[in-house]
Amino acid sequence: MIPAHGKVAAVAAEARSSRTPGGSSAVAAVTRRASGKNNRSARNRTERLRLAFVVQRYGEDVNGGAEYHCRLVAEHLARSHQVEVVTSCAKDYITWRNEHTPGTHDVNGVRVRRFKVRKPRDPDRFGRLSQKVFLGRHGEDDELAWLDEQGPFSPALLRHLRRRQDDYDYVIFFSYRYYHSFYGVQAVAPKAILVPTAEKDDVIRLEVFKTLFNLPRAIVYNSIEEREMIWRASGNRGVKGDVVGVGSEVPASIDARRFRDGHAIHGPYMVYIGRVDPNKGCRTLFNYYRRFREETGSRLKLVLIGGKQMKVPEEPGIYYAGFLSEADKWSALASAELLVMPSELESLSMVTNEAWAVGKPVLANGKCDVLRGQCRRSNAGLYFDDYYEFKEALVRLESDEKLRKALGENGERYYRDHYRWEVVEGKYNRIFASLRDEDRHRPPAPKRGLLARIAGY
Amino acid sequence: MSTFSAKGSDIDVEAIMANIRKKIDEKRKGLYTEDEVREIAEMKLDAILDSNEFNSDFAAAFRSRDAQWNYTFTPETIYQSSHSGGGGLIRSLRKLLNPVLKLFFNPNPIISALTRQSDLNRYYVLMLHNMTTEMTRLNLDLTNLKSRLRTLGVRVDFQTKREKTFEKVATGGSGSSRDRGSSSSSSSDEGRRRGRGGGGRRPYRRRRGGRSNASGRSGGDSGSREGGGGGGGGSQ
Repeated sequence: MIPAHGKVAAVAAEARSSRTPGGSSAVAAVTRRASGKNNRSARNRTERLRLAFVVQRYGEDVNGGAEYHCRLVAEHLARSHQVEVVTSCAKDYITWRNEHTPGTHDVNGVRVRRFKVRKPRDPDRFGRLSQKVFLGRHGEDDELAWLDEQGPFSPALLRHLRRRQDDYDYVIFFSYRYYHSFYGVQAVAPKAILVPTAEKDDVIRLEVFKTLFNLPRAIVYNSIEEREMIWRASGNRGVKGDVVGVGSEVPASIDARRFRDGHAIHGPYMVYIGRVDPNKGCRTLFNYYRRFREETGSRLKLVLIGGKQMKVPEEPGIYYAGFLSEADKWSALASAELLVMPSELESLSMVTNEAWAVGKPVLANGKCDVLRGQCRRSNAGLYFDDYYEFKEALVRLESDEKLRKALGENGERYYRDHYRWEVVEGKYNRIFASLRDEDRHRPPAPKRGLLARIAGY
Repeated sequence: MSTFSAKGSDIDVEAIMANIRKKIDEKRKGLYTEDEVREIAEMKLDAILDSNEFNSDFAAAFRSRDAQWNYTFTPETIYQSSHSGGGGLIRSLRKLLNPVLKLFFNPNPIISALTRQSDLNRYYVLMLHNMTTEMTRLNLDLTNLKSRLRTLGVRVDFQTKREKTFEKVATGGSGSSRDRGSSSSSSSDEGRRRGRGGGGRRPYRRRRGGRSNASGRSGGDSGSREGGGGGGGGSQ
């Protein structure tokens, strides 16, 4: 049974009582202490924990940033911990139709437990509720109705978490905006770690989520900008947290000619990797690129890699390569002059980190706080707010090889320091260690009765 | 937070971006920014209907220069010649050969259509002028009405406030007089309701002088009390 929202405050108080004073500074202290030590030896020293990853969809055939992020983290942490993924049977995030069979499966060596979605999303109702919640006057009930329709509506998944919470040391929830995270974090608050993957949109301003961000034991942020946005929205500075993000695994060797030879690409090009979608800023990119080419007469091509959600203009200079294998993708990235990232809504751009991993500069949309912040902090990319900045920045990047090289080197250093898997795993382990330390020093919780365990209360 | 930064290179992205912006600003001098262009595009196109800008003699002036913008076409036009000397001869010859021309095709409908079109052009100019005049007038009317509406709105607000003030004064007076005889538990709302029922306005009317009908109409002790206060005539 789902707890009423009114109980959230009580759960929050319980969760807060299990924390040591100091909040995020405690993790920061642990992080500082451990930062100088070898990560590999840290992994060996880490206690083997029983971890559950709870995410809306899971699988190799599932597209989606947060889902991919979750899969990568789960697979990497599975090397040093006992990991189980708890998810729905859905593949499609629009309808949440049950497409996978319920029960336990094995995906890349990780145990995955899938639960049926009881009610698929009704697009009409969801649209009406969204309109009311984001544009009209509304109350908490409307927000909760919107959340139910947002889905994936799977009470069975929540029941499992409540019944079997003793089987896990920590439960890591991905994507705060979905049903599973909202009610799941409430159900197992003393063990919950939240990876919000929040973007700068209207959902973060909903009242119901303000309480949610105060519930978990710790929050794993993707970027400094995301953390500040959540702090502003919910005032949860007291909750432990660290900026971690997700790692990138660079192949040991990259054949830079492979992509050019396979696709007969000659001359310099900039590459866009990701879904070709107006929501990802691709329409703006095409308009800007067309104008840039007309005004400057540049020979720089635009190569697009990824799925297509819009028509790609058939114009000189634009080449759509479609979905590519990992080897081809890395090859395309390695032989490009730069990566262009026109999206305005990014919680963390993995492909930007990948470009920096191979020493390529980035031209990013400055309207996205995360991308702008990353470019500034890394000193590895330029950004644009409008066409004029796009043009000037691109002219400079195209013409100045020394600048490209210097930015690329900075990017490589930034990736090495923050986004290698050893670093990311180390940060997760330090959060776990900090929570374990707290758990050891607090009185043990009273054992739940047999009936409570069976019924899932 | 300090952990998320990469130093150790002489490249400073913020300095590069500041330099790029400076360069753009220099280039943009004298040009419209994108925001300004958007603002211009969204601007209401009502300048043409501005009464100050509109020239009411426009149509008359335009029609007086008819030859400069319109063509004139009469049944004789097709026979005319631009030659100054032999023009008359050519015109006579063409007219003479007109029956031969009519063997090939009938020029009369063309002459008629072109003549009519020439007239229509004049009518269109006049009609457009009249419509523009009418729209300008309507625009002025609309502006006047809007301003009257604003004035009326202010007056209504003022009257509403005035009425509320009077009501407060009236209910305050009647409530206190009634409360003297009633139990102390009666609420202010009840007092207000009673005041609106009839007795509430009496003190106000009485203050403005003379005996009111209200005092005569209302029965019971309040009526007799007022009658007593106002004079003997009230009791008849």
